[in-house]
Amino acid sequence: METESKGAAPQPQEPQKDAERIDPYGFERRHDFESYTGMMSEYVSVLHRRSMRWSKLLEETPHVEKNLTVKRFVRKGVPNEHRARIWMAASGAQEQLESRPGYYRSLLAMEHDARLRDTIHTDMHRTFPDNILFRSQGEPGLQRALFNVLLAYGHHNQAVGYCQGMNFIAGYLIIITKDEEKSFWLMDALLGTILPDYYSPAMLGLRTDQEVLGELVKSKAPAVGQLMAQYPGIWTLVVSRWFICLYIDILPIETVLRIWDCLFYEGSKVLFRVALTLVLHHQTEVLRARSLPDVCQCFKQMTSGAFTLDCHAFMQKIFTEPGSLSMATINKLREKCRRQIQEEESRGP
Amino acid sequence: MTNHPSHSNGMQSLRKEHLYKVLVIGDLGVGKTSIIRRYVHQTYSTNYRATIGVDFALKVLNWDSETVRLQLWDIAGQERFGNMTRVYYREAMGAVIVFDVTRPTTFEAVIKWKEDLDSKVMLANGQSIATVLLANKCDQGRELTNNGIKMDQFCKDHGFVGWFETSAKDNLNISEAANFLVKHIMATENDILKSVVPDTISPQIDSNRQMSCSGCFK
Repeated sequence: METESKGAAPQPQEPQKDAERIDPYGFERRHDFESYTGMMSEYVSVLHRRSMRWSKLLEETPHVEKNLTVKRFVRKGVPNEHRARIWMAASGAQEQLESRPGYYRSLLAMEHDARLRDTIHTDMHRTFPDNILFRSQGEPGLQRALFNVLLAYGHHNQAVGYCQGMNFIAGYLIIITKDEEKSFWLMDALLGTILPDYYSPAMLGLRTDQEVLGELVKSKAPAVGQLMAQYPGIWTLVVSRWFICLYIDILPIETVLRIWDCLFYEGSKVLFRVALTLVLHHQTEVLRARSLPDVCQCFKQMTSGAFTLDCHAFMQKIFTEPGSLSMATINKLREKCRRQIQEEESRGP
Repeated sequence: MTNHPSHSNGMQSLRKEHLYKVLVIGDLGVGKTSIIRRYVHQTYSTNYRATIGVDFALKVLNWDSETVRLQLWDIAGQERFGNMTRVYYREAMGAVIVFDVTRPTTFEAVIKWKEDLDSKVMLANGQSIATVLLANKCDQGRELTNNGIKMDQFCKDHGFVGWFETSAKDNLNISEAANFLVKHIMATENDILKSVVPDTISPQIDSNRQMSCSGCFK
């Protein structure tokens, strides 16, 4: 975490070693490199197998369809070399990009709102300071791309503008697509279609989904629900970051990318599956909590460790451990929770 | 986690414990998280990521013969998080409003933050909670704060108990500011106890109570 020494040249005696402690996405892993490489050395055979299957599938049907086979493929993970393509196709971003050529550029060329620009600028060096590609002096200068995507998006979707958290999302999109315009349209697919209104000034969709998760926990693990009910506003405290950042910085990067595979292909339900799995899997620990700080600590701890690092096993768990979870249930709960929040709001503080 | 019941501490069983909730607020990027990390963990890094939503940290102080547990609530600086974080203002006893001396707009926003704070939380006696103003990143410039008299007046006008030039980077004035705030919180707490419990042995005359908060400047 310390930076004083970070910008300096690597230790002379082991120059090689320090350079190697960077993952393929550009993140420095000073503290968890061993566990990361340990996991990857096992995961690589899965990746290899999936990669061959995907290549064959895409050869047969280059157009990414929505059917059970592809859904199963997506849940087992999209290989990195196909990720941008699959995300673009599944989310409709590709269609948007093709139907509006030059639009992204025009957003960058227009006159910009100074306040929006300043706010985005403030978060530039605070987005991925531990990623070598996002250093301001870094080549090929992804910080510039990040700034452009957020600025363009803020002007494209003026009701949202810029909300903290979007910086992390745009950052991941740029890492995966290596393309500003594609990142922009994927961002639009997420905020405009896939997710409820998480990022608009009222953040109603986010506040709703936090409560929906609370309801789901109540029905699937009543004891945990009861414990959490003692602390007003607790769901916001422990899970708002999970939803806002779509698990970036909460879960390991490989796991996040696997979740996003499903997010782009299937929609926002997967976010609940992940949250529920984390909570249900750690209910014993949660139930031991005796105070608000205890609960917070517990929720922080449940996102790290071998359970979430082993992305392949984790992704299998999220589709089994929480049991059935229908979109109809979620829609009903969303409607109910949204109404409650709005009623509370109209009653005033 | 740190909430040991005091009776299990043997010798320390008679130590009086205080638990204070303190809000740390201010515009985005002014250094709220850095200040808290410096204060609680004695570390500083330029690598902190933007705070999303809310976070909190605990600091335990030995205060004369008593123990003070501070619950520091790190509230994200972006305006839209305000709706969501409102519930955490409840029962706060003190607050820290931070601005960045290198960015005048963050100082201009201080009044807005103070008004917002006062509208969301107040003490049992109707007064606003003790709030200090921190002029952070003072290692990078002093233009905004070089007129101390003006700053004193600003604090008086807007109901701050005092202000400090701080640097989380150089570890300047952070614990001083925190101690100053705790002192004020304890003073207001005493006032409230006196006013809420009428049949204590304390003298009836507490006409100075109104002045206890904004009256004593450093």
